[in-house]
Amino acid sequence: MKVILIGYEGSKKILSASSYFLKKYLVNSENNFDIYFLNYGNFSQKLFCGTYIELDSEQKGGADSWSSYILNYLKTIEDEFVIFALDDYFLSKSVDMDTYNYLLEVMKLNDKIGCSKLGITPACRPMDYTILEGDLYQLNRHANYSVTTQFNIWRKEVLMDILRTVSNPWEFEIKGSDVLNKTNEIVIGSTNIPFKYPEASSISSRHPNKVSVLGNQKNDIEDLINLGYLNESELIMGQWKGEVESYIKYKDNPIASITSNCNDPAYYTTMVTKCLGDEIE
Amino acid sequence: MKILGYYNGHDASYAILENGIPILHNELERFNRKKFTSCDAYKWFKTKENIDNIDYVASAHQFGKCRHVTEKPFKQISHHKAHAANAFYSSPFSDALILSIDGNGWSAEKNAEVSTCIHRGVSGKLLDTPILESSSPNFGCIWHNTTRYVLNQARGTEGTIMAMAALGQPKYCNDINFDTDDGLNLKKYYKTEQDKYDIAASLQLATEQRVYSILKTYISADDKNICMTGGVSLNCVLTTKIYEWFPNIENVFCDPVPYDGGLSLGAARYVWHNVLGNPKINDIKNKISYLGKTYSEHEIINNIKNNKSVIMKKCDDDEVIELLDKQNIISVFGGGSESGRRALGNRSILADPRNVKMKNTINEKIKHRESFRPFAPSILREEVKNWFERDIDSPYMSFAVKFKNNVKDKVPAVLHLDDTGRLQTVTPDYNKWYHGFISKWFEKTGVPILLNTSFNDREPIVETPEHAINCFLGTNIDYLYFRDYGLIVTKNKG
Repeated sequence: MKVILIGYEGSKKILSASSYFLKKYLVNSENNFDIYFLNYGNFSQKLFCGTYIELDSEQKGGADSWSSYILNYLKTIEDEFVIFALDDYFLSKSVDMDTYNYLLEVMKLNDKIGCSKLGITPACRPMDYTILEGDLYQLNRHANYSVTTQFNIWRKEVLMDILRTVSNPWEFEIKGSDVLNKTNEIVIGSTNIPFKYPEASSISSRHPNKVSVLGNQKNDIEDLINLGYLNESELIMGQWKGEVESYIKYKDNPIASITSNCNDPAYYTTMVTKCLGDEIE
Repeated sequence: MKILGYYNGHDASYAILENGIPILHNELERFNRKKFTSCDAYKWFKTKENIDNIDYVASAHQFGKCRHVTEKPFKQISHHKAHAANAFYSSPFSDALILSIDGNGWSAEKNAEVSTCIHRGVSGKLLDTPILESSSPNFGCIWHNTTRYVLNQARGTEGTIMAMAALGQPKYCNDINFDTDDGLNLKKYYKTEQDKYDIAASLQLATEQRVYSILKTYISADDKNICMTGGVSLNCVLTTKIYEWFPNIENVFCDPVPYDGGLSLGAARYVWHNVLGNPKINDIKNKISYLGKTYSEHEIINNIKNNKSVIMKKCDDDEVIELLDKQNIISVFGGGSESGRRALGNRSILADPRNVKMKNTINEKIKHRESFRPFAPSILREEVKNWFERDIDSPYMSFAVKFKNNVKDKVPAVLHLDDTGRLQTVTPDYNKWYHGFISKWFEKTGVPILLNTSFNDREPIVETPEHAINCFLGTNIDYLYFRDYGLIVTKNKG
């Protein structure tokens, strides 16, 4: 399975770290994940796994050319299914392969399923789904954010149909969800979440030059700091609007970093708990 | 001189021209058995052929950074220019208006995606600058979305929607705006079974009206010839209407591979004629669309012998004619496979068009599709005037013409609900074997027509002998005839 992770010039600073988490928690000799980091211009830093794809020397047309570049890349691959996401989500735990394989098999058996959610949010907030059987859910027809830049398995042709209707990542999520909801494509997922990672991306324009590690394991973060791929002074705990706490202050108690500044403390607490599980108890 | 053309994206393919004439066209779907798949077609070419034998490489342009082949001279051609080049340079015309309509394709000149484009061919040369190049209307997008997401049909089955249109009323035609809609708005009308036919009829009529409006704007009084290309021009009902709309238009030519699978051919043709300056080629070889590999007797016999589920014996055309007359359904495999969506006698399923039950039998037991889906008549070119209301060339099954009233009841299996047939006109220079075979059928039955449908079952048309045997075994086809070598295969029921 190809895991296609799209970035931009500003996300290159966390590509090494991102690949570290993917190598540790997703890619191993027993599964068939091939990671592709799509970006612009050169990249000479270490990648712990995966292949760097230079889409162009620079992103001509800015953010509004986002979908065109991805479409052009997707045209060159034969795969029926791909995992597609932004490149700045840091995995927290090993992927639950049983659940992942189950979701993929369900998609293969039913060609009306266009997308399968792999992350935490659709299962936990706002729970706009219907349980089909066991842990398997189907997103309700008019659910918000049926299309996101989070980790999802996509039927490639459906992903391309959505990309053709939008220009940039924000449109992809908002307008793309509207388009997908008007189709008959089914979106599924599992309440037994296969990909656990903090869904607030590690980098954001809300906090330029900062990297959020809220929801990632301390030993991983320390490892990356020691290796020189993360700068401790830049690390923050969250990417919500307004003030966020520093990693240095809350490295041993991440839940405590979710303060009243956060727009939805209950959700972030759930997310961190899902990501770190036993490690924070 | 050999030119390689290739195209990534859905319907990926590569093609080779030798001194301007296509000698090979491979579409990925024929080999990986999955419709509409994409790939890095240059890489795929290099796994199958030798780049050392190529003198020039051309590809249809795509947005952003594309491979620049450095081993050979290289040129990228804008999407619709490649479509236009394939249509014009494979047509018999020196001068023509060329309409290209599909979903989006990248225009390097405009630095944008384009979906509707008009070019002109003048004195045997495609003019570089289009006279219309627009992202709207996007017929391809609306047809795709309606097919896939409104009417819940499989991807790429827009032809089914066109066939469904004959069973509906165009009630919602005025609600379709090709400039602002994405096609998904039609979903609100789909409540009963009849609604889907009405939606199909509405989309068909709205498309015809808009294409008419575009052509009317650009056709001049001097125009006699029109070339149609782009995936939407697979719509044979639409292409046939052009004759009715514009009486001064004498000839309409449809690109034999008008969808994106033909871009590899178009890019290569553009290089040969427009970049290298070679004149238009009117040799019949330039128009033949049997561009796949021809398999040897050794390859075929090996495939048969390796499969214990089939029995082989010698056979000739006369015996096959007898079998057809006895209402057997026969798949035929011979020569190079057809480029394009239509089986034209080399990878075909043939049957008796006189049998009123034959359409349902093939739809139900072989093609596993809806009962209203029509089958094409292959007809001797010289007999068209006796059977159809319009005496035209249609070597690639590009037009749906009404049968004459006095003969239509003789061939119910190839008569669509609106009394039309998407005819293939067969001449000896296009397919000598097929013309001779239908002639024998004509002698025996008095009908110069055979029912012809593509040799497949919900998959791409068979390419290799192995594909042919697998499809034969998986369906209720009675016989498989490897006509080049006089071999017929039956199922081993022991």
